[in-house]
Amino acid sequence: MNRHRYDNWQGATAARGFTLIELMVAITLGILVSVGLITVFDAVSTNNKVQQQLSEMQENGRYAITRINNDLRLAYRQISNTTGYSGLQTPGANGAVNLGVAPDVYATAGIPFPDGTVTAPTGWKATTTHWPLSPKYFISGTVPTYVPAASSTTAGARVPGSDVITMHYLNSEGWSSYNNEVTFTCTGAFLTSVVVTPLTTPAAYKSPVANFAAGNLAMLTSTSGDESIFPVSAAGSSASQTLTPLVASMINAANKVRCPGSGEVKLFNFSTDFITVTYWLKLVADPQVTSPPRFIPTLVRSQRDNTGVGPQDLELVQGVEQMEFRYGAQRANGQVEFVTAAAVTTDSSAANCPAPPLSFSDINFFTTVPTYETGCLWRAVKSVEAHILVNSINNLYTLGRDEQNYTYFDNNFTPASATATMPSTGLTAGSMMRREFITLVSVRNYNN
Amino acid sequence: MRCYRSSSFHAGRERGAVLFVSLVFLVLITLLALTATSTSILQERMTGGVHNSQLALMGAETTLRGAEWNIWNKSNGAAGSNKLHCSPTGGVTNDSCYTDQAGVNATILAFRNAKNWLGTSGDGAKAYATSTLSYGASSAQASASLESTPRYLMEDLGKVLPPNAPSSGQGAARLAIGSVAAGAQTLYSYRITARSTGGNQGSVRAAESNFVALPPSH
Repeated sequence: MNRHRYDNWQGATAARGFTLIELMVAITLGILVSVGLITVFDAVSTNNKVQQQLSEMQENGRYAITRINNDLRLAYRQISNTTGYSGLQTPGANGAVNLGVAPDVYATAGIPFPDGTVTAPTGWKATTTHWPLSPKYFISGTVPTYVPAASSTTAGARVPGSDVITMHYLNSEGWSSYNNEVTFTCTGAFLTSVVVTPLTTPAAYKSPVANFAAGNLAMLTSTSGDESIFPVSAAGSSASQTLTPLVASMINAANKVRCPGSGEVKLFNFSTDFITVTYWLKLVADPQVTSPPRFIPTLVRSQRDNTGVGPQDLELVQGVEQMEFRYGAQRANGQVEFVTAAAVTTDSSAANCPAPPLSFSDINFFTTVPTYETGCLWRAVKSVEAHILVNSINNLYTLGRDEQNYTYFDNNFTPASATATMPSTGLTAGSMMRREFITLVSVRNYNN
Repeated sequence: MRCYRSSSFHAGRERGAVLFVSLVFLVLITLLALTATSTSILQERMTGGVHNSQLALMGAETTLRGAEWNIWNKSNGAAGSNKLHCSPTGGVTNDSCYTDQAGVNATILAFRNAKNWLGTSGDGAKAYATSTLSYGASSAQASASLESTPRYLMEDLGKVLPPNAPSSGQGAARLAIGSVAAGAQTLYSYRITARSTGGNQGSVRAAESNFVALPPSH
């Protein structure tokens, strides 16, 4: 360049410099163009960040709602769930009401659900062989003991003001008499033993191996409508096990498990296959922001079985900062109302609850006339509506007020400032976007 | 400016600079655009996947409900020709209703458990096609049509008895419907399995329910 310029200066006597005007115009134009470019770049860059956060938020919300949806669709699931006449209907002013079906429990120790052991209902005669397990235990809005206390300032705590849902369902196809996997012997009307030989062919559809341990609860059902849950002792290998009712752990020492009825007979390991799933929101400390600490509300799915071991707590989705459920419980008159978990419990009166499963109305089994159970409306939840509020996790301080506006339960909100607290959860608002996701699930296994 | 340029630069040697610089920028912008496109293509695909699986789910649920309605309808109709035909091999007039299961029935097992679409021949099931609804590629709403007509299979599971009832005799109570009397009648349970594809066979969903009705086949 030097050489080039030198040549130029030397040889071109007519060469001119820039006049001041030229320079000024050039600089002004340059500045204008630069400012324009910078503005455009800034806008594109901000827009890009917003778009990215939006799509991440969309993705998170979609995933969270899909997972909740999948579990809700299975809530209550037992194998003899029926629709149609169900054989057990009563007419209500607003439509037919299906009666629930309660499995018979033969175990002394009750059912060790992780969210609370279930024992015989109040007033049940101790001299009988079994008691009915009310379907009201299969879905619940109360906070189980394995979910931490609520706090908006402690890592690992549950988000205040957010709902918790727990559901129980059979998470297995079990073993079927139709495939010769289950054979049983009875003495008179009562069961002597069950042999389970899991199907190994065809290979694509083989069943799980027989996994009964001594003291596990077996669930034996038939499509004619009976379900028995009883402790067993197991002999044999995973290819074939012989199960015998464990008399020592049963209410009646005379070994009175009812012989299964006609149709398809299915066997399940109730201890491992009847799982408990809880969804709740947990505050997870942000590793990148420590002083002052920042917490990311995270959707957690806790899965447990009835053996007391092997809990699986999975942090599913970050940025879920509020979660609420509305339960569509069918009243005795056939009407379905969408109410909160607390209202389902408080509305559980004799006037509201549909009639209990038949075994509850049998006076022979009770010492006194049976009353409606506490929380009886929980057995009438026909559909569940889930609302979650998902945020964009990270603060983006360039966001305008209107971009931070969001709708939740048909109400419009805009956080006043980045340091404001969010309604009911008490979390710091930050500067982020929020969107509500809703799902309405028909609990088709309702009549169990 | 023209004068300055012509005297300052050696024409013919540096002319290509503009072309070169613009090419570089073009490549950069293309890369940027491609990245953005691939991100949005991924999003599109995920949306398509969700759409597909929703279609399959709705197909399966509709078929299930249709089959339930069919049983219910027949159970309230006149006796005789309006029967559900069930047999150990799937029914005499292809109602795909199986009864008296003993031993491993690979057809039913496959239909209830397969993760892929089984096709229309030899799956032992029946197409859910009604006069008012048409599924399949020929449908006018191309974005909402299913790849294949959904298929369903029924199993007659036998009598339903209330808990603690004797294993013989009458079953549970039944509501009065139309001219049909209410009261204790022997009810039978049917298990219906419905399977449906989405817009393509990438999504297959199955739905299953137990449905109790007065016996249209007994």
